[in-house]
Amino acid sequence: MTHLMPNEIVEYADGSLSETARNEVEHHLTGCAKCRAELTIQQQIVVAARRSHLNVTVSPALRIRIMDAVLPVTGRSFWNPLVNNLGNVFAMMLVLGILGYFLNVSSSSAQKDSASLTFLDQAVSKSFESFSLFITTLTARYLPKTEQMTGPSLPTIFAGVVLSLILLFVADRMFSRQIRHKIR
Amino acid sequence: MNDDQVIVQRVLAGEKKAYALLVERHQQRAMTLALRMLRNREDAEEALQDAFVRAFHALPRFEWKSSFSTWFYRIVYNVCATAAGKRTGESVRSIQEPNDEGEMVDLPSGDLLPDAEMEQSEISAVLEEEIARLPVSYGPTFTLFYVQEMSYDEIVEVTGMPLGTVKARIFRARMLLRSAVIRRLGKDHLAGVLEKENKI
Repeated sequence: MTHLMPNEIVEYADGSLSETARNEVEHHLTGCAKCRAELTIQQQIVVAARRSHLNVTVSPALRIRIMDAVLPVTGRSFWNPLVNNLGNVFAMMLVLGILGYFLNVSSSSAQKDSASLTFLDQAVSKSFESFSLFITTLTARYLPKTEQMTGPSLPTIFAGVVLSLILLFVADRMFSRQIRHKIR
Repeated sequence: MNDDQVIVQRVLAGEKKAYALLVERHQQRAMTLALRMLRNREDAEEALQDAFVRAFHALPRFEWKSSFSTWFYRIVYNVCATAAGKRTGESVRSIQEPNDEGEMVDLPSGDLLPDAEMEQSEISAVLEEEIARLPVSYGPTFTLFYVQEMSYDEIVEVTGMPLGTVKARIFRARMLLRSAVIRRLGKDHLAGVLEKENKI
């Protein structure tokens, strides 16, 4: 018994035979189990081939890298991080202020000898004080007042705001690309 | 106007962020082609990134003489072929097989046809693995034909290979996959097949 040529089966599976040739192949297939089995394999090859890309994963980072490469970053002003992160500025101030408030409360009984503190300690301490005053001023109705909460001077408040902005600029330079693209 | 054309128009009009939509539409199929050619995920991602960036910068010069996908996958193919060449010292396109020019490959005389009772699910599972393992000389054309669903003429345009070579390589890939299925699933049935052949 003769069988179909491999290319006949392939072309039949692909649907690229002429009507005459297709009829001949179908006539043969009705009486040949082996050619039917061969056809089954070829049909499965077509199905598997057309679906083979569905199992391929592409990392999300690739799209970010591509868009980073094609979108220009020129023209971005120095103040863009501030403008884009105003919400983060206030969030940072809120967090530091709350932290400063509780630090002030917890150290209320300690004797503060300013002479023994380093410059950095004093700067950090004053920053926390300024933020905590900022928060308590805003929420004066809801937070209990403490005797240790003295009003800082304007330079102290300004130093605290500047410290917050510096921290945000650093964070923005380190992490903003990924955050920006996630927002996009 | 198809979706690709609409997005390209938007990008060329200045809406550069719309390019992300083109990336989204084509990245999976393009990665499939890149993996078939480079066999290494890291290299494939790097090549794909390069290809998408090149395509972006070449968009203003695209004249719509072919479909966007044909034009784009030609870029992907060339970038991957160059990357493969740098890695191995030879080009994918330079790998010539004997009998490439339109000659059909016959089954070896000792080859046996499969038994009729192979389960389709078994065949699918084997094919999924074997397609990913197709030789580099066959995988790209096979992928362009079945994954990117390109015609022979489009594949000729993308790869620069003669039409006969394209057809021969796709056919050979089919035969390799067929042999793999029989080899991996058909052994248990060979004895029965031989017996049935002798009785006819």
